[in-house]
Amino acid sequence: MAAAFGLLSREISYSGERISEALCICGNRLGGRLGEVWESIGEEALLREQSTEEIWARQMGEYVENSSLSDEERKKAVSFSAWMGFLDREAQIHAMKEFSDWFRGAAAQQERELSEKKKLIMSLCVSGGLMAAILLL
Amino acid sequence: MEIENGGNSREEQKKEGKNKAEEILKLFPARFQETFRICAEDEENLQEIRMRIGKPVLLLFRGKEYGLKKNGEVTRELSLSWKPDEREFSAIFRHICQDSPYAYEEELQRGYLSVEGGHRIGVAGEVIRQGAGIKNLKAVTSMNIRISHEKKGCADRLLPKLYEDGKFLHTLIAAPPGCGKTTLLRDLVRQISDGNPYGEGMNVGLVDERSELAGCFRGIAQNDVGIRTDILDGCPKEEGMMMLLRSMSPSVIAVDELGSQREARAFLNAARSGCVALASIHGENLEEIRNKPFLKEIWEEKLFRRLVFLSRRDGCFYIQNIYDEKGKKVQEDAVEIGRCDSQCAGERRNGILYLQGAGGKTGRAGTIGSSLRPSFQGDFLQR
Repeated sequence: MAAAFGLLSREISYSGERISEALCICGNRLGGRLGEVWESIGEEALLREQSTEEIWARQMGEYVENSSLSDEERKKAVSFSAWMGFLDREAQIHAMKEFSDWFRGAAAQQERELSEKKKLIMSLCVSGGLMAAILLL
Repeated sequence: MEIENGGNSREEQKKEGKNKAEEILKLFPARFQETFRICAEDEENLQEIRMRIGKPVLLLFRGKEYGLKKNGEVTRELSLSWKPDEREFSAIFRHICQDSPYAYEEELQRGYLSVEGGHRIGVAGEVIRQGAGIKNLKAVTSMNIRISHEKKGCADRLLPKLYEDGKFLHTLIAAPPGCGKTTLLRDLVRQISDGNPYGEGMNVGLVDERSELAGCFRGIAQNDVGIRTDILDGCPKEEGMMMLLRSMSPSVIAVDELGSQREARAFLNAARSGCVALASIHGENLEEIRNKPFLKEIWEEKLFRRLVFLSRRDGCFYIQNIYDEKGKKVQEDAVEIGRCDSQCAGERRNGILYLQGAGGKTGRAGTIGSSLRPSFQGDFLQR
């Protein structure tokens, strides 16, 4: 997700495309399930029957339900809809970068938590093993 | 090979009208489309939709101002008109920009943006300055949606006066605002480019500084300006004319609204280099045009072989006068070239005026569009 938002911010920074078109381009480059969803959001937004905000909230809502993201990450991903529509291009790019940074931070945090959990499990296993050895002796 | 000119059949016009109405409705989010449906269906007469935060929505039909109720009714009582709040206004603006106002940054700096269908949206609000110039708008608080009207065939009656021995003559179209200068110029460009009964098709270079003639949206012309027309969209006229001369070697160079010394000089240079010049200008009569200081050099060279004056009366557009380079009248009487009043297509039965709407069905007096809902109040449309 961090990489995807990074790609989106770079696309808008480079080409100044509208968000719908940028989503199509980035979705195509990203590939995978997220890429498909972004392409689909972009294509639906181009039809202009609903706002990009509504389409994002609906389609990303469905996507995160079936993803391995945490609850917090799910909420964050869906909330991007409220961060569209800046009058200033720099402000829009900045918002996307913030999302990218947030997901990067969340991923790093998860990695840290995972390694701590690993350490905890390892130490529990070692102490359990020691205990068993003492009991057996 | 020449392209068939002139107006479309009635069926085609109806279909076009319906498409145009849909195009206008697409400018608004789905939840507001019903509010704008009736006025959009009368797109032929609708000229402007003006919206301001907390102020009544104003519609301009055939030069007259009306209000718009939230339920879609058009009213003369402006106090009853819908007053969009900040959220509603913002939703509409964002929808027009497809949730990407930043992508229209350059256009917003100029104060307007062009959208699909060739319509132009003027905006105003709080400005962010950068040095001496304008960087962007911080908040958009007013919008003026100007409906583009493409009237194919409106130049039919003018064309024979602008050709001599199969050659198109240097022409200037003058009129006060709202008299159809741009619409006529657009059709002239189309017919000169495609070819017409008076002359073969020619390569036309069109400098469309305000995106009003071709109505380009993301570089693609939304209006038909002919098969041999090269468009420079959003480009300052003086630079655009020189660019086109160098790159596309047009036979005719066309610009809308000459308004400065630099533009006039570039225009004259284009004409000197062998292009036939076609332009429009604000002005009511020959004297006013002749007294414009920036046109001095052009008058001295007697560049324009035809000077066309337009006027508007009772919703009808006229070619008021045509002069030659010596100031002699080429046409004596005013010639009607079109009307912005679809009442002419209506008929009166038992004292009630019935109108033909865009959908093709006939509605009772005070009703427009394909629906039979009573949409207008008071004496609207009664003659």
